[in-house]
Amino acid sequence: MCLLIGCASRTEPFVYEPSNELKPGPGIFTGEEGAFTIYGRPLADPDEPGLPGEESWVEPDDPAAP
Amino acid sequence: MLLCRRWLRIWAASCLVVSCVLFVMVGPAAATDEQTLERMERIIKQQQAQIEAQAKALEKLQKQVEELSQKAVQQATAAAKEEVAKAAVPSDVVRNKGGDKVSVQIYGQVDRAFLAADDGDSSDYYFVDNDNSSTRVGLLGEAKVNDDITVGTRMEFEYQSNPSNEVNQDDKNPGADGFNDRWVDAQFTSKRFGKLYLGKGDTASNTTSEVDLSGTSVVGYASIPDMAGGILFYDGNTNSLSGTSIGNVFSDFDGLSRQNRVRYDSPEFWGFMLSGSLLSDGGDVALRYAAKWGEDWTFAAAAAYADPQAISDTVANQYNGSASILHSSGINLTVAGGYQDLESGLFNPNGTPRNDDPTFYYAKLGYRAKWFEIGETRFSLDYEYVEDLAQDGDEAKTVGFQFVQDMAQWGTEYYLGYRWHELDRDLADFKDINALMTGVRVKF
Repeated sequence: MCLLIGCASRTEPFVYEPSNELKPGPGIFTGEEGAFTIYGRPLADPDEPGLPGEESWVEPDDPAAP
Repeated sequence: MLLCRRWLRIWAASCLVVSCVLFVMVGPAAATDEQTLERMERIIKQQQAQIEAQAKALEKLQKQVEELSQKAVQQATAAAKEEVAKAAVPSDVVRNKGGDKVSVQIYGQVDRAFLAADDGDSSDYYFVDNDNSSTRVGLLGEAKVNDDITVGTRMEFEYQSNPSNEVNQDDKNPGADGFNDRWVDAQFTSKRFGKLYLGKGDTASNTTSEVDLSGTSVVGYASIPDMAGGILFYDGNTNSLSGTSIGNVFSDFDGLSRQNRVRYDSPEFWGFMLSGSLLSDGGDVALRYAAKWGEDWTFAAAAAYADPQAISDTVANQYNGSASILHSSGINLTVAGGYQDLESGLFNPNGTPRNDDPTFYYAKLGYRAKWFEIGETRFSLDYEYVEDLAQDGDEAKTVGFQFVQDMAQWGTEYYLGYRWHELDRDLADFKDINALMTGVRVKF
């Protein structure tokens, strides 16, 4: 059934976030970034792979990536 | 009389002479004083003018000195500030001027819970670190070499005081075993050619049994022992605790976990990603897929093969996989399964040869929706069956219920999970174990 749904629908990239690794989403102290940036630019850039637990299975510069 | 007139004439003459003399003396002196006064007055005026000019010059010099002093102070302050900036990190977040290509981040979470377990004979409660998603801290570094290549480092350590998968009826406070390394890794990413990892971290097959879109994995998922894996089954035949724990008879065969390895991930192609890793002995391969189908469906899946000779003396080969689908209504379904091909020449505890290979099956039905402004609310119900893991003939079953309330703006989740465990073993009468866990996970 999954194959039928997949074949019949328009496919878009999706970044899978395992919720049993680092908690997905913002942090209580770190806000939307989810991490303290102590040097340089934040990693949680829309065009770049995110934090651990948010391994991108999508091309980093894909517009559909979060 | 004549003499008097004569003296009078002499006296008058004398007076006249004296007066003349005085006149002569005083007359020119008076004239001299006036000239002197005039001269002195001119001198005084000249001196006054000189003093005024000197005062003006002095004022001008004072202004110049002040200006020079201020300039010197400003230059010294600027130089000092520059030295301080070089030596110290300001209290606010720093973005180095050249740091648009370099980044270092610290991340982490704390996950603490209350665990209650009933082994069929007695009940105990424990304060634990939730092994479903342990307390940890990590350091992530990245430097962009060019538009294609990025070099990175990752170090991550967990610190668990009373891990939930280790506490048991005989040891309620095992404490902490220090910091355990999860990742100590160098990473090289190319948008065109993929990603290379060297160090300790996830092998290619890690998490391939645990793809799960329910959002409740923090309190229950395919890895059953994470919740209460140390709790021992009570044997009704012997009326005593056995040496068999939940962790001995349940497993999701989740690849080779985290090891020292070299690993490669391919670039994503049509939602697929192929990975492989090489250990000191053995290795694994894995295929992952994730995509959104249309407006309503999200799907993720993974499958892996592992040769676990680096970490196991009993398993020759292992196959496993999982898949999860989520509908826009919030309903989601997750399935997982796996099989181990054991080495030959193994024996059961009773001395008979092992003939059966371990197998597991897992299914979860879930629902998630945003009922409250504070965050998403998630429920799920799951079931797992594992056979022949510890010895031939073992049948272990579990049913669990999970509830998670996300509080996104606080970086926090509250969770509640319940799980029933049953173990059927020949020549034993193990009582069912019921476990309840409730706690919070707080992300930095």
